[in-house]
Amino acid sequence: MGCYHSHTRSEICLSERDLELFNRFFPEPWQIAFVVRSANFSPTRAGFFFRESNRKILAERTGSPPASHPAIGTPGGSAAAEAGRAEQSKQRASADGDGTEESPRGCHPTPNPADRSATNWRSVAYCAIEERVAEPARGNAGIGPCRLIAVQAGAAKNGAAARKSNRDSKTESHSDAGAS
Amino acid sequence: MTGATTDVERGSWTAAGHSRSIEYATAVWTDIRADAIEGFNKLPHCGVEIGGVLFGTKDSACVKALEFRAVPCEYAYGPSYTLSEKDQAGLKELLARASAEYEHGEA
Repeated sequence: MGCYHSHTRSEICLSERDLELFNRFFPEPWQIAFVVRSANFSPTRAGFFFRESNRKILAERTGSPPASHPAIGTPGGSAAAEAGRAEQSKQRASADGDGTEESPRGCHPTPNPADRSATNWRSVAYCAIEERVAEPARGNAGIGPCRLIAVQAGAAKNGAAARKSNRDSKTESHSDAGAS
Repeated sequence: MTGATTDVERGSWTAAGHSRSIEYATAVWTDIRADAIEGFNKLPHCGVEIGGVLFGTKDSACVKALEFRAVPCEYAYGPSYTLSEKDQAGLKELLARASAEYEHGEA
């Protein structure tokens, strides 16, 4: 039903090589790609990508999605918003200090909204931030119990409040999932 | 592989404005993450990237990732997850085998 792979040098995105592989081996419109981003001293993050009805898969990069703005390429987002997110991402990347965030390589640039051909590449990708339930042991890059958090695109919150809110909603979400 | 839909702890992803959702077995995420971190720690400076195939089920609105299988990479082009011809042959074989297993299971 899809493929997954990790990125250690580029952000959560689909590079040209990723797309080539995905389109070659997973051509069905419903098939998904899952990208995991590992880094030192920060939680592992991940994003799902799937195709829109026109069979194109979004592969845009908006940089490292900060915890406060976890959605990648919120649908309908303006160029200014995209630029703002990219800038925030850059700041966060440098704050992470893991030495891995310098100019993400191999990922597609954010489509230019003025480019007609790019209008079909609306974002349908979501990013989840891994929540560490327990504090990890030092230096193990966040190994420990974790869960994915459902992210509502465009409903970003700030800092600790967002994390607390995410924790609350996550618990709720998992209760629901467990019941089904 | 497919059809393993019972007794599995699951989570789901949804997003406002989109009808599609993705459901996953939490073990899938946990294991993939562990593999990714292992790869990350394999070499200094970001390690190696890893990858594989997700298996599961789908309906019109939901895709369910219930299992995964790693696809080995010989890292012929460096530490990124870029599959060589040999790696791609392995992936092709894995997909063919999975498809056969599925059909056998369905029969």
